[in-house]
Amino acid sequence: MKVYLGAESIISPSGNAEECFDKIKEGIVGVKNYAGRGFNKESFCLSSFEHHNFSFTQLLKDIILQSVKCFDEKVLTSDKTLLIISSTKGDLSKGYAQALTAPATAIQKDLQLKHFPLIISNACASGVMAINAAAHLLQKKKYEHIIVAGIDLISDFILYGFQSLYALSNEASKPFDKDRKGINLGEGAAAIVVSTQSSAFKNECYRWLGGCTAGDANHISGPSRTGEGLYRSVIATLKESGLTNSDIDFVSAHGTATLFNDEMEAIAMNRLNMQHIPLNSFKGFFGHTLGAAGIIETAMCIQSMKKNVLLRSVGYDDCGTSVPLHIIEKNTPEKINTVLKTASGFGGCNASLIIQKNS
Amino acid sequence: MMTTWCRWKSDKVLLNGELFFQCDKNNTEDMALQLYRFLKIDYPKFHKMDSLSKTGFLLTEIIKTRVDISRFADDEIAMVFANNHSCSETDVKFEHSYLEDKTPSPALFVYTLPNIVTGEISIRNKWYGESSVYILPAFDAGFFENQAEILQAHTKALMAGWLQLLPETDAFIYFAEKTAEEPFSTKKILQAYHSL
Amino acid sequence: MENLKEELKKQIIEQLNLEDKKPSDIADDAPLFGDNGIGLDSIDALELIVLLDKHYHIKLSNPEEGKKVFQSINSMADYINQTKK
Repeated sequence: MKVYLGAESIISPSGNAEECFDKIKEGIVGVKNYAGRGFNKESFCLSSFEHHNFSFTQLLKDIILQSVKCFDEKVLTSDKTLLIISSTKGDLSKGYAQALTAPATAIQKDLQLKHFPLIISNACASGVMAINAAAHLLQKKKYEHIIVAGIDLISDFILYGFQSLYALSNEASKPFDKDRKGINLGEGAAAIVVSTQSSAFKNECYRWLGGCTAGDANHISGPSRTGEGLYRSVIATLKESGLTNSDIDFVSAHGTATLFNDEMEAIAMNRLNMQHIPLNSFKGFFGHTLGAAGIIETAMCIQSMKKNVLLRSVGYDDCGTSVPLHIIEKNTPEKINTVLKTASGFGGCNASLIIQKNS
Repeated sequence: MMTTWCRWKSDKVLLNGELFFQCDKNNTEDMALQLYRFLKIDYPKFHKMDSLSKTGFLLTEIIKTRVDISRFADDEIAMVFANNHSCSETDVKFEHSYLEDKTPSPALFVYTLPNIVTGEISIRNKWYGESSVYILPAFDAGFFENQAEILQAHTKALMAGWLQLLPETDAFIYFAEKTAEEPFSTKKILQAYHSL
Repeated sequence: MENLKEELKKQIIEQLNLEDKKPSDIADDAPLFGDNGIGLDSIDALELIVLLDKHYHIKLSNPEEGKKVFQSINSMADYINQTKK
């Protein structure tokens, strides 16, 4: 059974999907330096909403409605429709034990969804895993349409936590670059509709071909030095998609700008013999949006496919990995038919998916 | 089909319906540590784990006393776990480390994600297969049936279950193997879960 | 100095959850990290930075600084004594 995705939408401090695409193309940076946000009042570079009055649940509602506007709006309340929420920490204002279930309960009631939303919380691989979960549920005919929404907000909890790991940079992050110093945290929401009915999309939709997850079995917060989990995930995804590495036109990597993550990805890509495929990280622009990252970045992949432009990897100047990658250094018009998206997260989880133009 | 299951509720652990362990309330060590010692495991990393990871780890170790996992390749056992409160106990402890102790603890922060339990189990067993963690409002056998059905294309066995720690430990893990007759049928799950 | 080393061992065991270890299991000159060490990892290294701050009010600015300091109980004790002068 064919699975389609589209109706992508983003709400980020830098704007919606189209606005973010244009800003990256024009070289406008999506992160800013915020003084005094650290535990001892240090400055850090973040992509943060300013002057916002929305709550987590309001943002979740807004992103779902924005996405569904580009689809068949009647399906929202159908019993053949499911909402999947991807988030690492949810809404911490609801208390830690209800941070994920409380917004799900509220949104089910507000939007009159027939099913309780399915919540996936698998660290920074959540977003890609949520899209794959949706596709697999559709293939098994459990539902006909699944809205996948990813959302995470920056909180002191998250900021101090990453700070305690010395993982943050006080400058704009530089994924894969030799001078990379760490992550910029980002916040935002994105949604994509995954469906078995291509005709229900109001605009162009794309085919999901495959998506698998694999573990590093190495360390709970540091990636495998050989990129084993990412390697196995991509091999399995290529197999499920019926493709080989030469079919991939563009790779949207995880690229957090930590020393270890980017090095691991470079090693994995070389083991996959994909080091020559144009690759970028969207985190140089959006920051690392955690549970929303996989959805925001897949939405940007779709934007790139729509406009046939390989977007430059923001923050990259010089190679900083022990093995080479074909990092996109300049915006390049190019026909993009097939894209590989990867994501990795704490716990050693690695997820990937492949999408292709719907011919 | 489900071959082996383990149920930990409050102070009792059942393995395939029979009493496997009962907490000694006169022992000052908590139940997780008592179980660790009872299983005679030598794995110092256990002591660094948070309560969610310890629970999943111990139940998996108990299942391994009945299942010969060496029959499976390193990516043939998938894991799917769920609960309704994520890793909230550890979240509270991490918050305490920066609000009260004034020193945010990296060792606590790395456990403030509910999927770290699958990370710990995969490290222990060198499993490279599929794994995922979901947050559900309550135990839902139908959810696990769906996951089993999806995973049968990718994997030969499934270690899955419910790791609920609030208000008290209410955990259930089962091991299911893909067989020709009943590929991952898990119809007995609900019956096993309600045994305690 | 001997008291400090004994204190350090107790604090390390507690801070790093080395449940099955006693202070007498940690030799003063034993490497804390690496294959011949007592099996500490990268997160333990970060927790040692927290320990220095919490118990001795010494702030290291990054993990790189910690590499030399945390080689052994001896090197930690030396560093603490030097810094507190």
